[in-house]
This record gives sequence, C-alpha cells and structure tokens, in this order.
Amino acid sequence: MSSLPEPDDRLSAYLDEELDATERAAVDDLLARSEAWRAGLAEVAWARDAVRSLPAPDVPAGFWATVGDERSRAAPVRSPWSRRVLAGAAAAAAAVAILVLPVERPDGGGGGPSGNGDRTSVRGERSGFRNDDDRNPVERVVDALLEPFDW
Amino acid sequence: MADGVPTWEEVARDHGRFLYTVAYRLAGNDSDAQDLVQEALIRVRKGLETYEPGSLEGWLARIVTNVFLDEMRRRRRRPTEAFPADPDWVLPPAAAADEMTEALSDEIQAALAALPDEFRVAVVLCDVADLSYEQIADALGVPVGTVRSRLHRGRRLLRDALIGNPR
Repeated sequence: MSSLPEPDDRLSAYLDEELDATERAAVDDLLARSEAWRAGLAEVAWARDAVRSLPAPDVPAGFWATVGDERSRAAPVRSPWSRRVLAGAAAAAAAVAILVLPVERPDGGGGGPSGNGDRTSVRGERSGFRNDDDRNPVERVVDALLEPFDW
Repeated sequence: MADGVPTWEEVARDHGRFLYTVAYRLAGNDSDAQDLVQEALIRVRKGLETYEPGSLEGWLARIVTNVFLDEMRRRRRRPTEAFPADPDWVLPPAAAADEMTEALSDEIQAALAALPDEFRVAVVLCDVADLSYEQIADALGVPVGTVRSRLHRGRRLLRDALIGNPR
C-alpha cells in the first residue's frame, strides 16, 4: 500500500471551504482512504466549533460611556491656522462695521443694527454670561460673526 | 451614512459589540480589551476619512488586530508589561463557575489566550471575526498559505490544550 501524506493544513481549509476544486477533491479522496485524515478533520473541527461557540463577552458596565468621553477627546478640533484665519476675518469685518455703522450714543440712540437695547445677542442668549447692555456695537458684531463657529 | 461610508457614531453603535468581542478574544481580559477598543475607535475615526465601502467588519477587525499587534510589540520592548502567558492569570480557574457552559467558555478562552500570538490572531480573525483567508492575509500582510498554516496549527494546539493529545 502506497503511503499517504500525513494530515496537514488542508484540513482546516477544507472545513472553511477555502480550497479550490482540485485540492478539495484530493482531500475528499484522502478522507475516504485514511483514518488518520478523518481523525485529523474531527480534531480541527472540534477546535473550530469550540471557538465559534464562545458567546460574545459581556461588555463591562459603563464602558461605552468612556468611549464617548474618548470620542470627545479624540474629536478633531479646528486647526490653529483655521482659527487664525477666522479670527482675522472676524476682526476685519468688525473694523468695517466700526467705519460703516453709526456710533451708538450713550442715551441709547443711534441707528445701528444693534442700537436697540431690547435685543439680546445670540451669544448672550446661549451663554448667559451677559446681556446686550454690557457690550458695544463692535462686540455685538464680533459676537454675531463668531457665533456660527461656536468656539 | 453617506455614500456607504458610516459615521463614527454609527460604527460605535452598530459594530462596537463586534469590536469588543474580537478585542476580548485577542487580549484575553476585559481591561486590555477595553484599551484595544478605545484605541481602535480612535483609528477608526481617522480612517473613516479615507475608508472605501467594503467589508466594514473586515476593516474593523483589521484595525483592532493591528492595535493588538502594535501593543504586543510595544510590550515586548518592555517585558515587565507583557501580556500574561499564564492562562490562569488571564481568567480565573473555572472551579467556582456553577454553570458548565460558562466553565467551558472560560477554558476555551484560557486556551485561546495561551496560544502563540500569530496562531491566536489567525484563529480569532477566522472563527470570531469570520474573515476569509484572503481578508486575514491582507490584514496581516502575509500570504494566504501562511494564514492557512497558522490557523491549522492554532486549532491543533487549541484542541490539544483542551482535551489533550492522545498521540
């Protein structure tokens, strides 16, 4: 009787259906002729099934909340150059506003868009730090310009 | 999700459990699994900018595996921090477990944790992450034949560790 090859890694690939037709036929033939190959197949199948039968591990309580924290730490921040560009644009717009908008008089007059002391700025509403009365028109314009960037 | 590319939030919500399972099977304990998932999700966030729709879980498994292998290399440079080779350290003996299934799971996990890294990675990526040999080869940067060999040897070692080698 001609000696058959020892069982080899084709057995795992056979189980996983990762063999091409030629190799698969060869393994089928070996399995039909060799007890050692059949035993080898049963062994790797047992190990494969053991791992596949493992239940998904329980995720420790609170872990996903820490992932959320990590996410906020890892969240991309606006790069320094873009901050400088935005800040420069805001400053330039504010300077234009100073030149174009009428100056608010101490008595509450003035025709500028923020001359109405009843209005509350967007930033003031959001942050609650202070209201319109504390800020001059230039600050209001800067606030309005910076508001979309929410920094 | 735009153009088939998920957002980071969608990945974390829909595939976080998958990531954690792969990480746990690679690392062998909760603490290291959590660290792996945290780092993997950071890399996912960066990687999504260039992600091309395909096998998302294959991509995620590759990321968490690379995090694991990077960490293993880092710890080898500092041996005092090495992942434990002693399975009893990874999971306590199952003697206290009152359910057979739980005890068996612990034993399988301990045997898995005791496998050499290259075999454990191959087994986990195939039998836990359900990747094809080609995907595993791509993830590890090795030929498919190497994956086949590592996987087979890993399974044999696992079987021997769990029920002994009668030969």
